[in-house]
Amino acid sequence: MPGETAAPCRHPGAPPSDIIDLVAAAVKSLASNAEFLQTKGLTPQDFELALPAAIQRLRGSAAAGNSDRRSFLTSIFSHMVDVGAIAGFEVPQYGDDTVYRLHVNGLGSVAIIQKGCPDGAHSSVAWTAPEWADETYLWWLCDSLQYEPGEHVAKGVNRLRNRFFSAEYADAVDGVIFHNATCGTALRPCPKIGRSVEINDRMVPPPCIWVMPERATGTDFNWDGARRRRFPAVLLSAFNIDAEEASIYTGFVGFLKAARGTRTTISSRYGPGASTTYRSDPR
Amino acid sequence: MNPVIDQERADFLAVRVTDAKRQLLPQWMRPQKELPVVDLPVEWVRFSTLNHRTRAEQMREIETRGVNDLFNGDPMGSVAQIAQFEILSKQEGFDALKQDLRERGQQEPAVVTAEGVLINGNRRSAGLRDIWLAESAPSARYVRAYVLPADTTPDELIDLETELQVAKDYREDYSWVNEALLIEEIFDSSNKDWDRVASRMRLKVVEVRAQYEKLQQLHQLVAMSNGTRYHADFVANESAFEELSKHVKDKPSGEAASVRSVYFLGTLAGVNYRDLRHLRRKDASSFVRSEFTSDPTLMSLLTVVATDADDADDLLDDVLGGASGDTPSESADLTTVLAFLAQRKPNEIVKLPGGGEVPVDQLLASVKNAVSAAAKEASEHSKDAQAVVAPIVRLTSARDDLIRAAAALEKARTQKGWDAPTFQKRLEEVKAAVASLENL
Repeated sequence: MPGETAAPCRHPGAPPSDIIDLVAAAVKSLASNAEFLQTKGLTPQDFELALPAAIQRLRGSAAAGNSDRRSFLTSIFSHMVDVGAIAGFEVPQYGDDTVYRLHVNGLGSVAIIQKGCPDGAHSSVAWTAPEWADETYLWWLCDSLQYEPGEHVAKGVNRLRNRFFSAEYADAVDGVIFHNATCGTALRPCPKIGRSVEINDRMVPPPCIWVMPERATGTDFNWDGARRRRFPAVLLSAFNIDAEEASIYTGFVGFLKAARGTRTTISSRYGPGASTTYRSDPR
Repeated sequence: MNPVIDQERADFLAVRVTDAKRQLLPQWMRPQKELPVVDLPVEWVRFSTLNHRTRAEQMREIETRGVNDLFNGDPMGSVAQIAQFEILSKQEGFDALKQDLRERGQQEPAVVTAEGVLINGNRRSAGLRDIWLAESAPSARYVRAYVLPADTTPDELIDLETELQVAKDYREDYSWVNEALLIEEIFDSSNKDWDRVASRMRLKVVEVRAQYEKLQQLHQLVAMSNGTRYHADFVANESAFEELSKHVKDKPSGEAASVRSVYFLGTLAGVNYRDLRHLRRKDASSFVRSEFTSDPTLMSLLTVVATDADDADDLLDDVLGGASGDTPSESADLTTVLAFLAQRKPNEIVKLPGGGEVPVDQLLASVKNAVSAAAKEASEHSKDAQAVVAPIVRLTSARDDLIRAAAALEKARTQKGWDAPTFQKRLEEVKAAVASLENL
């Protein structure tokens, strides 16, 4: 699958595609089982009419809601305060854009823009980097098992690339983070699990973080991963990864313009000698 | 050839052969092609330790155990026989073979010497023995076999083996490494006469030479590993060695060294040969080197191996061909990385500058990542280069076609059925296309 190698982990806990097909077929077959539906107070017509809306509702209740995401991020930031990685943070009010302001000694303010799965337009394009921020990051909290994590990330970076090269937008993010409560569980085993720390009675592995390119002229945008940002080391320090090790836990995103179009590279690093790279075709 | 006849075994077999029915073995080169066929207890027959199908695995076993005469000291003894049985039972497809033997039994007789050493059917006999020992299945208790005359010569044995190898009914899949080792042996023993090798192998000269040349590349990588990697470790990498040997054949030493080091590095790391083929170019090492520089661990690895470089220089010169001075500078550090990794076991720990420790197999995973990315870059580079010249190439082709059209016009006009209106229409279309091109 394209993009699988953009992140170091897989979703072995996800049900196989053929099982999903069987479940879908089983649900559809209920529509013709009038006897069963009658026991539930439904006619076949009711069932057919309401099925799409019911699936939407099920999806909504199964996925982590905004409050779950806020709770997860807040617990991470609280832990960062507890271990002295950051001086403090401000939680956005409900109704505002979900942008956290982290106060980092020696760096200034870091904006964390909370988003869901990266493959949605809302999660990757609809944001604004605050003017007060010295560095800004998109934090994707994605519990979907629909694609492999790397595919989610690659889809998100692809949308970010369109925004990056669009004249409509002047702002940019310094990096992206893919990390939520699913990371390190049986559904999404993490190769960095050995560096987990305990936060609110559960073991949380270090986040996957990629430094994004800087807006500039030319053809090469962080293609070799040379761009350095300061927040990745701050974040990783909360997971007992010291400054010397931070570079081997910090990935990067790069773009390269060439004769046949622009390509993307997404390189993940997850420890000594552990890295994985995705390169897109030109487009 | 197992040198000394075991008379006790030969006598035992001779008794069985006396009244045995004879059956045609077309591959037997003597005029009398009907040989006795007998049922022999599957635990009584001996595996051939001269079996070319297992040569590479034997070389690995000898190195691993440190016993040089493991297979030829006492080839009929229990140590050699158990080692050979283990090799046979670990070969790819052994479980499938056993399942086939359970379901269909032994289809074709094996071939044994007068003392009961299997010349053909080693793997099937190992399968039957395994089934018999593990499951006591009566159908696996005996192996049916042709028995060769007691005066069979070593040359006749090797000829029969090669004949049976190429004969469809008896063919047991030789790995490319074992087939190439057999070719090399015949080549060396036939005064380096390719025609003779090809004839004995029932292959074309170009085919046996290709196998031989692939093997020479593999010899280099195994030699470079200084005893940590074996021929049998690379059975799955035939395509990579084939493409490498074809590419470096007539290349200058610098380019050959660059491509070879990248191929060896990629093969050690497990890069797919389809990716590696994009790196068949003189700047192959530069692409890989560039990917190394964007990975902190691999940069650290370069630092580590630089300290070992002096020690490795002589070996690298011997293995990769030419003095280090012939090697482009950008590939020099890659060849030292290659030597460094090739000479270490996968679970060996490497200490990196700054105190980090990484097992070799993890470093190889990073190398795989870097070489795969380099291959993608090289591929894109080639495509971009083609894209840059594509308009000129197409215009050149169109110009040449127009010249040919003009040359053919006079004759075409004299032919019945000449379609002048369509010709004129096409001419206008070409003019319009040229005008459109000029306005871009």
